[in-house]
Amino acid sequence: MISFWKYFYMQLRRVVKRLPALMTITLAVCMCVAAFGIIYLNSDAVKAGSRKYKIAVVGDTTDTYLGFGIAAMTKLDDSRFMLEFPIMEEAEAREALRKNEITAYAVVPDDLVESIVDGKNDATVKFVTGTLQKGITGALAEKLTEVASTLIVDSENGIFSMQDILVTQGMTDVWNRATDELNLRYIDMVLHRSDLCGVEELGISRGLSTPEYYFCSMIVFFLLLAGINSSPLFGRRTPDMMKLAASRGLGAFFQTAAEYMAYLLSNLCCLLAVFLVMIPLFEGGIIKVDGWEGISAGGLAAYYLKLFPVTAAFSALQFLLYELVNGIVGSILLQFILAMAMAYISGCFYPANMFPDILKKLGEVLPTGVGMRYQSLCLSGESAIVPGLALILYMAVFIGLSVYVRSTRLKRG
Amino acid sequence: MKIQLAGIQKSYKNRKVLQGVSLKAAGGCCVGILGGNGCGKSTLLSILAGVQKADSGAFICDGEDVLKDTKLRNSLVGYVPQGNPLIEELTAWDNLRMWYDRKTLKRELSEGLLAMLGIDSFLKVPVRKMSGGMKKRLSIACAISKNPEILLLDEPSAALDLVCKEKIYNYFERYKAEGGILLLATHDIQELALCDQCYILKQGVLNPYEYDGDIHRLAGSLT
Repeated sequence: MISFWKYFYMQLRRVVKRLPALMTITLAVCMCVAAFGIIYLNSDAVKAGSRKYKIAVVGDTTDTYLGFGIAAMTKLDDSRFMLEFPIMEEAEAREALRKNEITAYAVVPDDLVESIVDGKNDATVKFVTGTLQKGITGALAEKLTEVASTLIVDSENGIFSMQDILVTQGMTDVWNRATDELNLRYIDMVLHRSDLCGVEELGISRGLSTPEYYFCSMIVFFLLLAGINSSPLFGRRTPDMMKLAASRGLGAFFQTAAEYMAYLLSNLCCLLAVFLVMIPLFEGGIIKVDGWEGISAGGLAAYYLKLFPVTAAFSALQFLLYELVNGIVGSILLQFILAMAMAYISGCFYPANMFPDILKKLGEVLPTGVGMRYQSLCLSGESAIVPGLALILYMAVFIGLSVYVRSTRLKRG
Repeated sequence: MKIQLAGIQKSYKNRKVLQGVSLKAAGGCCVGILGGNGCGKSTLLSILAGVQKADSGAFICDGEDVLKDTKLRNSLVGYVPQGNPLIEELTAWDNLRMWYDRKTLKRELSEGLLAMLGIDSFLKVPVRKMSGGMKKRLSIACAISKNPEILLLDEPSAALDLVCKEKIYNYFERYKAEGGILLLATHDIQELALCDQCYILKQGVLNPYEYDGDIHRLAGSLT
């Protein structure tokens, strides 16, 4: 009978033989991504915010409530990562739209707020967009309407009604405090659309600053793609080795466990190489993650260790894909497509708050979403036990499925 | 040592691959199992090796059903699958180390069966750089690590050159002479010459066959 540890040791040896090549490829990819990231983050275009969707606001925005609404969207709400609302004249906005400098513009009529307050609702916001932008601006217009309806229409009705009641009851002394409290409740309601942050964490996505958020995203995305490197090792199935090992008493479970452990260690080594390169980049100030205290060598080392559940879960997922698909090309394609889809849905490229509710929920429960949540909690110094356990559970499920696939394959001969 | 296959049955969904396969053999005997592609030869050997489970039946070695006793099966049965159960990235030595302890391996390489297979001449060569013959010899070497008394071989000399075939056949002759039992699933006429008993597996049923060198009669029996 072949021992599990002997089989694991041999799997480890084959990984070690390929490790220099794996690490070189990983570092090369990472350096490309890092170079792109540094150029991107330092570019004037990014500094000027031109990567965001700009929706110009035309008309009278001096009204307190309307101004507050726009300020909330641009400074406090999660949509600030994608949207910008410059104030313009209509001719200027039209010209900017023609030059593709803005995505759309909204014309706010002078009597909008009065119309709402009076209950007439006869003044409408005109939303102007180019033909090619119809899709995304349609989604944005819907989002804006949702925010505006909550923030302006309902909140103003509520506030004025409350103020009427206070006057009727002779409670004018608490007028200001009650109005402020009600306003805060409305803000909380709007900012809770994603259920990701409370009013105590205004302007923070998942408790993170923008650089922190994208740092987490890049780590998740890298870990998702890291499996592709190992395609030459794990993309080719070796059914005869599996059969011989099975005939010597090493069944599907132990085979899978040994191979997965070797695979996980190779991914951890590749991640370690990336972190070793990151340390001088962080300490030299070439890469900056504002507000994150863990930019020292010690901080990065601690963060690397904390990434273990994420690495373990993602490695298990990749291992399952290798079990499902035979052949290097097929496994690379599947891994890449799945990585892109999962990363996108879970908000690695854009904050997920802009997605429909069902996609948002899906993104949160996917391993990538849980990985993002886990990292965000680690970065913000909060307890990450629940998402950490969820990742371990994911790992167990993926390994279980891998065992099932291998066992079925062995049974079929 | 005596072996007996008794009523081994195996089905995949509605397809009956093996329908009560039975045979007997004694030590020093080579049993050839012939059959067309997909007739169930490899399935039969996988079942005997413990990779797959039979729906029913027994594989009795000296009165013990080894299909029910994993430990006994591991000590008695060696299995060489159709392909090569080798790790491509590692050398012959590394692959052998998975199945042998260091001391036994060194002894076998210097004076044992591995020396006869000529393994020592390519110990440091990575599997991916080996020829088909080297891989097959190494596969057999891996399978016989526990000195099994029964060796199951699935088309052992398919696509090998004559020199390799000769080395492997010499080994089989010695294995038989030492009292081992060989079960060969084969298409190869040269391998049939090694066999003391031949069977044809057709539509899941195993029937004895007397090979007299008439290849046309054999082909007619297979179809």
